Amino acid sequence: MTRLLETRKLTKKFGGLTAINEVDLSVEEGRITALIGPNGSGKTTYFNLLTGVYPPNEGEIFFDHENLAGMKPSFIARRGISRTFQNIQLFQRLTILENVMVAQDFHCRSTILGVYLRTRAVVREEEEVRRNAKSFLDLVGLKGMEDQEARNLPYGAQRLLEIARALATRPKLLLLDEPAAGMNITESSDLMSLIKKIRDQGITILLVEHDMRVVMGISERVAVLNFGQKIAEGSPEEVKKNADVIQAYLGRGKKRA
Amino acid sequence: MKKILSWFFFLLFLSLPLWLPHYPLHLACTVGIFVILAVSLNIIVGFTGQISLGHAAFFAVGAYTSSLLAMKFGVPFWIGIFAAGIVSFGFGILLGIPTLRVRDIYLSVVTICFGLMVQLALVNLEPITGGARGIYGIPRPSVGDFAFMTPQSFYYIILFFALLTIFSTLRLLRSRFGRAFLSIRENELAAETVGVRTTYYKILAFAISSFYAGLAGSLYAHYVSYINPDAFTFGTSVDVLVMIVIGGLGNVWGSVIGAFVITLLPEYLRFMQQYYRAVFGLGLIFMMVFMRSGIITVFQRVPWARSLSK
Amino acid sequence: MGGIYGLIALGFTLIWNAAAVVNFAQGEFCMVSGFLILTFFVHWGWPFPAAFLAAIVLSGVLGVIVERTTIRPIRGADPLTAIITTLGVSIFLSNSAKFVWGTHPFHFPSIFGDKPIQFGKITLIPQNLWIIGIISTLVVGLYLFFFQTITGKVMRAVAQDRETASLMGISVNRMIGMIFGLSAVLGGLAGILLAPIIYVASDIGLALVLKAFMGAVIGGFGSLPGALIGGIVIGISENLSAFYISSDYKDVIAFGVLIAILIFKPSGLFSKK
Repeated sequence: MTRLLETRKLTKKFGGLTAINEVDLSVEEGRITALIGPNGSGKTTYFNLLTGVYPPNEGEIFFDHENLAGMKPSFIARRGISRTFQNIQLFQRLTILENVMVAQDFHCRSTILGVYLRTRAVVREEEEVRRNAKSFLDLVGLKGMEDQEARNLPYGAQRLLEIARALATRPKLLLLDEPAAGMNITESSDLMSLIKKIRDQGITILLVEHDMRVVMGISERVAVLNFGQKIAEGSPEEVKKNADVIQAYLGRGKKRA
Repeated sequence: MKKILSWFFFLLFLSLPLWLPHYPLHLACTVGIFVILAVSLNIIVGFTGQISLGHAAFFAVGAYTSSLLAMKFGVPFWIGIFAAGIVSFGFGILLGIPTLRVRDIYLSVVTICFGLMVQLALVNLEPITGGARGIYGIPRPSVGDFAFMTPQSFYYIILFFALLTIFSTLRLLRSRFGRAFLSIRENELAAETVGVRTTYYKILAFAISSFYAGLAGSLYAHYVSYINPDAFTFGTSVDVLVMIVIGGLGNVWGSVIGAFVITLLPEYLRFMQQYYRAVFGLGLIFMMVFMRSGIITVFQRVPWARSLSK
Repeated sequence: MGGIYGLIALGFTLIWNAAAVVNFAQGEFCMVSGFLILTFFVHWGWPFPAAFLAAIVLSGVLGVIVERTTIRPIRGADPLTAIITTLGVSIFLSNSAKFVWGTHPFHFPSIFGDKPIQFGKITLIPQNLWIIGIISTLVVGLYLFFFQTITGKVMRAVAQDRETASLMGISVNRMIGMIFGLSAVLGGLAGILLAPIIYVASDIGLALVLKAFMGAVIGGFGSLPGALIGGIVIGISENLSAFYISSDYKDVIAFGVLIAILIFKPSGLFSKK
């Protein structure tokens, strides 16, 4: 099993606060890995580092043998890492279809001149992008609402749209930031099968999640963060029994089961 | 229904020189030029979400490029206008670069400064630009033996370029480029995250927009035959911005409407001559408070009217 | 000169901090007060102190009116709307001034004496001394106001964090109205001080606003003392560059410098970090 993603001594400080402290973590290709930890342990910051939203203070991010630390988000996206956001970051005034179409942009070859002249190649590409977008929407279960504006969608559908959009970039690694937040049992079960379906298509998944049912249900490996440091790593069973992990959660408040 | 209306308007505008008296036709020509300016500015502001208050600079660059080429090197209009577009395109890239580091309010100031710098440069570079006196005697375009001397004939050139601008922009905005621009407007971070190279697209927006503005500049120069830096002030930039805001940002036809309104309003309000600009200021405030999304929203509410957004 | 720009910049920054609005009309406040005092003092022959007071008070009133009618309704809208609104105010004011007072620039007599005094090698005009004096007093006064009086502290609170302030029972709306009024007064004062130096005309607003902005940026946008200092820096460098380089290009250079600063050091020299 190859390590698709590996971070070494990754560190991020905000002023006096060290949000991520020398985190060494690796994610194996083709597996579903979960990143858990109490609130404030730095999980979203870690994601932001991985996707280039912040540059790290120290450390390296090896993705497919390339160090992506400090690169711009669009560069990282084009290298194959894509993500969803915990607080929805959709293109509100665009339609659902457009949200997913724009994510395919860097795969497009159409030139401006081609667009102006409406060459056959451009028309064909446009149709293809549209078709692909529809199939991604279909995959996540949002069929039939293509021309609705994203901002009119109910919350759950917006989360699904986030996933569809992230998939449209054809990533090798998909980062999901609390995808199950606010979902009930049925919805989260559907989500779990969706994630497994995505994995089965060959996409590696790293997921941050508080809902332990989901974490235990689909992850193949789990890593735990606390105060910006990795405190445990292993299979879901190992981690569940790990004393440090239990302490971290209990020490902060109740643990969600 | 939509088709009938479109053809009606098209034929109407095509026929204007045949029956419209001299002065209104001149107005129509002016409107045409501003339509091009407005639509082009909308690419930056309405679609990509950047603030630009220096658009007059590109207008000026186009006008002067075309005029100088014609006056000093005898370059025919048809090449001159294209060159004007290209040079403006270059200036657009020039302004695009600082905008990458700067947002919102700061951006507005940077663009204002850019506009003023260009204007000042035009005034001061006397040997080239004729300074404050400007350039006069700019020739009208000609094809073979036929020269487009009258407003009637020149109108068709303007109409051609205006339609060209409108429809090419519509086409641009319905493509991947349009989607990319819009994504930057809606959520720049998310756009980056899905792989949209915001740097490239922002500069591209400025560049394309200024290309069109350059075309407009050239048309203007050859139409009025006399240009000086006074035609390209901050006030001009503001006017164009106002056109797209009141017409409806992010909507090509909205900017067309805006161009019509702002250009024709002073004519209809002739009786208020002195007070016009002051009332204009009040009108702006009024629009911002009550009708922020522009006039086009009126159309969007009426079910059968087209709201060709994008 | 720099001090005057500093004043304008100060008013500018106040509004920005409080209402998140870039007030393009700030320059018009100066212009209007310049005209007011012209009318009162020169045309109507009022004694100077009365004219001075009247102009200042009316400026403040103007500021409050502007806030009530134009800024309040658009609170919270996107920056572009705010920009166009204040531009609208600026256009309205400068053009109204045009038909009330005409378009010709007016010369304003110097109140404090034109005759230069020699201090060794330096020549000073009493007027400039007066200006520096007034501004220094004002700065001290403002400092006391903001830090010692309750109203001042409340204003600072509103300027720093509007939501918390309103949660604590402070009437934010009234405060913002007052802040506008205060800014307008500062602008008005600047206008009066400027009148003898530059002529009074209806179109000086824009250039003033831009220079005020430059001052505010150099000093660190959002920082009040920075704005003042920044304004001074601008004033000084403007005169210096006009002297050493070329009078025509001084504006171009100034703008270029502004763009450069905005790009490379957006937080200015005295940023809030």
